[in-house]
Amino acid sequence: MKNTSKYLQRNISLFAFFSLLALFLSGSLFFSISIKAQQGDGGGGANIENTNCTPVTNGWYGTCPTIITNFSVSPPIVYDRWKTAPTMPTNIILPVYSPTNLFTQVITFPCTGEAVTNTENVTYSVSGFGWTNFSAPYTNFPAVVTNSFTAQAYVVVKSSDTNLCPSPGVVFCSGDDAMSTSATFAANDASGSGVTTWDPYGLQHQCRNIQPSPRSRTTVGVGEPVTLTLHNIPNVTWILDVTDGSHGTLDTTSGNTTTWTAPNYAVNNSMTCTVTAQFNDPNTGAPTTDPVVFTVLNPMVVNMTKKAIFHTSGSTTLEMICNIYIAPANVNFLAVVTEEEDHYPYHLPMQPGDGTPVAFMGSGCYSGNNGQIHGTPTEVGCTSTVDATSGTLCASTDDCLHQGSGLTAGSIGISIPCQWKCNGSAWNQFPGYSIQLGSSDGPPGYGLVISKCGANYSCKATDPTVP
Amino acid sequence: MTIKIRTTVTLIIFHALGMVAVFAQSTNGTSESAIEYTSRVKQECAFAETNKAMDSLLPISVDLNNIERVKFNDRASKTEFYLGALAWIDENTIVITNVYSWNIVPPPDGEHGPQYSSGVAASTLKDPVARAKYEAALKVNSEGIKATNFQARLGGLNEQISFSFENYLTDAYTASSKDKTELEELLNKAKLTPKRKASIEKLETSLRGAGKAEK
Repeated sequence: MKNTSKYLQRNISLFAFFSLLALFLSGSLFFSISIKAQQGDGGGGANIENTNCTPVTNGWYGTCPTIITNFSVSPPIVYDRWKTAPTMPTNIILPVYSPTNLFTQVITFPCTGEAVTNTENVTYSVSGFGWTNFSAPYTNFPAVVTNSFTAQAYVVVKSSDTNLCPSPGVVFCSGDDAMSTSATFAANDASGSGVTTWDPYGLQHQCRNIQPSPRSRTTVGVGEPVTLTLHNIPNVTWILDVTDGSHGTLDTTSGNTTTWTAPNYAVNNSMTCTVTAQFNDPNTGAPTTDPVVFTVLNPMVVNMTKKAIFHTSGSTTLEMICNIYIAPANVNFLAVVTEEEDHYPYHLPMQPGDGTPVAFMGSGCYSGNNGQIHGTPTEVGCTSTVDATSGTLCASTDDCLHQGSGLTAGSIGISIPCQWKCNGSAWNQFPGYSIQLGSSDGPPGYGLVISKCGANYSCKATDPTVP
Repeated sequence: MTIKIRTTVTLIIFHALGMVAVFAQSTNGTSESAIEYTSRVKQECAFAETNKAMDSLLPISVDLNNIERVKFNDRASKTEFYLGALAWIDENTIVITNVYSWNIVPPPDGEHGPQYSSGVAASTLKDPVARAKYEAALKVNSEGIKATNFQARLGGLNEQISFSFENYLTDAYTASSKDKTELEELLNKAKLTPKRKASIEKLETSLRGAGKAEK
């Protein structure tokens, strides 16, 4: 804001008179007077020689605002530390410029030897804090960062008088000058996942099950518990998108931490559940929401791997002990139990075979097993161990044995429907069957094969006894 | 009667007993009396019975999983609660040495009778003795699986609580003598297994250096 001296106000008519006179007598001279704005050079403007008592308006001089508090974000480097979810810089200091930056303009009156002085305080205002210059390929804060990620904080700085001091405009928080250092977000996950989860408010979500990594995954198995935490923000309310239990449950709806337990059944393979944190933005105070979208997966497949083999030389006896797994392998099914069924499942509408006992189909040396009913349903639970290929390891093994009569050829097979349930809820069918096969070539090759759910072993009936 | 387990005759004994559990013994070459075996299986099954299968663990696991959220009056109270939870897990944890199976192999259907495939219904066996053996083995297997399931779920819970406690400990305690003294006193008070106690004491080496502000 400009301040005109009282002296000038009292003599405004005199000033106007001389101005008009000067215009009349020496127009060209008047126009040669330049009012040069000084832009922070601290020097005075050009004095105009005047012999006709015309007021001489000197240029403005003064110093533009200087920075007194550097622009910085802290911590400038955020690591995804093992067992500690990454956070964004929590201490953001915006640049502060000197508040008093007086510019002065002197107008002299040669005839009287008097002078008037204009003063103006030029200030810089800081607004519009934001982040930019995201490292490729990101264009904004990513939900998940692999390896490293950088971003640069910025503010918009405006001048109160752009004639005297141009607006600096966008000012970056950068290590290239004395103002600050840049913010770098680098993954340093000692657990080996190398994945950083990013949330602008530092919302952390961590699967209770340690496997599979990373625990910050948003694809979970039915019944998996996930802890969500929003530190340092008061009055957080947690909301589940559907509250009838079909989207799981929240153990509490207020506070900085809640645990969401995924539903016991996903209606389809792309089912999502959204847990939203509601709070007031710590910077602006505005009501804000921060949602986390989880995808929930049902058990889909029973897999097995060979654990041990028994064979009695000179016979078709072949036995395979298998580890049992529940896939898919990118989630944890600790909350699931599974069993083989002794009847084919009922469908709606009813289909041929519904409710039929599950039976072996044997031929040749295995004819004695043909039509024999499978009927020992046993609920097997899961462990917390997840194999990256096969899925969640079950707590017990499976024992597959086929034995034919004599060393003749034959084959045997059975397709066993399987079901699963989560946390004591209702049974659900696996889409496929648990298929167990065996065969004997008989002479002269004596080849034997046994397989179940991806596990298999072959040998010759004449091979030595194993183990 | 003493059951001598020899790997070369594993299948014979295995089928004769109708117990897949015996397989576990064959792999380590040890022998065990039938009384000892029965006693151990009963003990394992008792856990399943006592705990009414693993579904009973669910509410407990939910409670324990929320320790991080619960507000305690002071640090020592929270630590004490954690240690109590870990002690409870230790107390209920047993090592199940037998192997229980989704399907088991039936004994031959009578002397020189046919050997049916694993998983057949007990009604398949016509010989009453063989069927009785098979039914008994199925029952033992079923109870053993309950115990195994419970232990698996408990193992998962142990992983989760231990992980949570480790984070809490390294966050809430420093290596200052005051903090270490408090921790030692709580550790001595808790009914932890020596193995658990040792593992927690080992964590003390990763505590933040003394001199830092306590949380």
